[in-house]
Amino acid sequence: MRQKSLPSRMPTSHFDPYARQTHLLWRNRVNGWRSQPAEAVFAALAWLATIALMSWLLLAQLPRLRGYLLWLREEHAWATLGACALMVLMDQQQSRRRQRHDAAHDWLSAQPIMPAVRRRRRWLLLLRLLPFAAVATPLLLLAKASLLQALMLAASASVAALIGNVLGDFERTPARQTRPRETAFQTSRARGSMFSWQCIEAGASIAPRHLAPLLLVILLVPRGPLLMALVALLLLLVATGISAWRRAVMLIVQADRWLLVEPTPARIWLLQSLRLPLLMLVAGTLALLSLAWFGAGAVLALAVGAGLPVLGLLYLGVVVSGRAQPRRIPLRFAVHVAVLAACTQAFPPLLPLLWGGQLIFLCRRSLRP
Amino acid sequence: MSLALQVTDLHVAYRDHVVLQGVNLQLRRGELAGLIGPNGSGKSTLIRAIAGIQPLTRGEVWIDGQHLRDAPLQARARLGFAIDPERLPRLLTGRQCIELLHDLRGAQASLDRSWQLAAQLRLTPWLAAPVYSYSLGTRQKLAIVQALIGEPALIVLDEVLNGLDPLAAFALKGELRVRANAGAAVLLATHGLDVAERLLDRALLLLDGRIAEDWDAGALATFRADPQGGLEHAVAERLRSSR
Repeated sequence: MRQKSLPSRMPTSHFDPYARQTHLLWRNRVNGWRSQPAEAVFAALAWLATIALMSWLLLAQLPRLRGYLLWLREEHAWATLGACALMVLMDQQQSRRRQRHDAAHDWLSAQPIMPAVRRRRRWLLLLRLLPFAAVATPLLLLAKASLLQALMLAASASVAALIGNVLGDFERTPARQTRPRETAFQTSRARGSMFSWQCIEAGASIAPRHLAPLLLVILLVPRGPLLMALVALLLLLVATGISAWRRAVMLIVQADRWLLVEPTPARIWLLQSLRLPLLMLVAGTLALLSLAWFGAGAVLALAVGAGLPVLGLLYLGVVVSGRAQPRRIPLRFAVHVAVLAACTQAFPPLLPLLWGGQLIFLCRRSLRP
Repeated sequence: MSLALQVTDLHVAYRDHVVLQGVNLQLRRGELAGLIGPNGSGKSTLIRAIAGIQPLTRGEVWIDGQHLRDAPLQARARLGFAIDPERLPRLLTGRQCIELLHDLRGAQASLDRSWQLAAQLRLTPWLAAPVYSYSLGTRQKLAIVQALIGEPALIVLDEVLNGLDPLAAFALKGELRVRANAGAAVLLATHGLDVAERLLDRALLLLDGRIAEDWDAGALATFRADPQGGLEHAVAERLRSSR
């Protein structure tokens, strides 16, 4: 057998494949924008409009926000400091865990990557403090916080970030000792229909470990303002509910990919896959409707009772009809919402008709082979 | 002849479920070996353990004389491993993936060889497209080209023939033989017993987390010569006797 000596190849420098990958991803993204200028301009305008709207809302609420911040500074400075530090710590811990999981399972996991590169990646996570600082600085200015208070916040956030980064190396069960992470419905518990898969998937997002931060909120809020604790809890529950709903809906995209080669017509399994999202939508609407009714009167109740099903059903329709191209779902949804918003400004009575038309259009697209 | 792979007393468990229990394996350079076995026997786990992406409960792995735990950088630099196609970066193009790995492994000189292999596997028309637009077979081809970047002393492939079209599968088998002749060791996990019988120098049957049979080139030649039995028959007999 012919033999020749094989060169022992080694990375020649501290080449950072992750940095190169990020650079390439951005280049591809920019090229994508260039190749579809109309879509890119629309997305940019949508973002600008969103930022403008949020800024307007924020400015309108500025006096109230200032009052609230002053109250926090004077009455609950330590609790606020603790809450911020805890938030930073949990963010760092989660990010570090995610980073370790990716390093163990991604496409570069078996490649010879210099330890210095991995270390650098790890500490780069601390840059996540920058968005925190960007939000905290104007809030501190609004609250007329002293330099000492600002420094204390910066110091506690930095220490919390370091602790969170280190804590991210410890897990209850070592990630590397398990098989790569699977979505809940891929596990052995998943049996039977689409409905039961969706239930498992939705249930995974409201598991105790995901709900733990909700309980922390109660502990963090000072004894006095119970109403604030309830509002915070409600907001987090809404966020969890939306997450569960989205996971149930996005399962349709996965199912479509799996069933593409099967001779099963889409309408058979699609009808079954709509049950859970629709049930959750009805339950969520009723819950929020009753809360809004008791808390804020008829106008808000009407807005919730009408707005949630309108947008929820529209999103469901966009996902089902665009399941073959999931990357375009957010953009398509934005277009439909923009059309509705324009109609609300121009001629509101046309709104129900337009919405119905959109749903019929999406239904027809959904059933197209 | 030097060893490209040495595995001693390898144990792997997923929490309470023991998958590999005391695997011992040696591959010499120039050897083209196949890992066969029923579903759930631990083939992929063994492959992942050799690639260093599966933590070991116990045991040692050396790649071309480099200890995987103590000198991971050196060991991995000598390893060519085809990653699970589903883990390829969806938003990069095939060309970008290959170039990035060449830069990482300091193997820019062998870039032309990768393009040649891509052409043999009929991957070239897809190289400019993002990975998310690839079919399973096309992703598999990209993972194979990545595994063969540079001249790894050990090439480890897990079920890579699945999803490949006949021409690409033929080209890959030829390339593996060329690499083996050039001094690399190849470990190929496969369910295709006919492939194992015709292509390999050695076939290892993994059963219940252990190497239950180790058929060398002579035994495989005997199987090929036997029109009644063959490797398939031998494997079936061995599986029946283990029940």
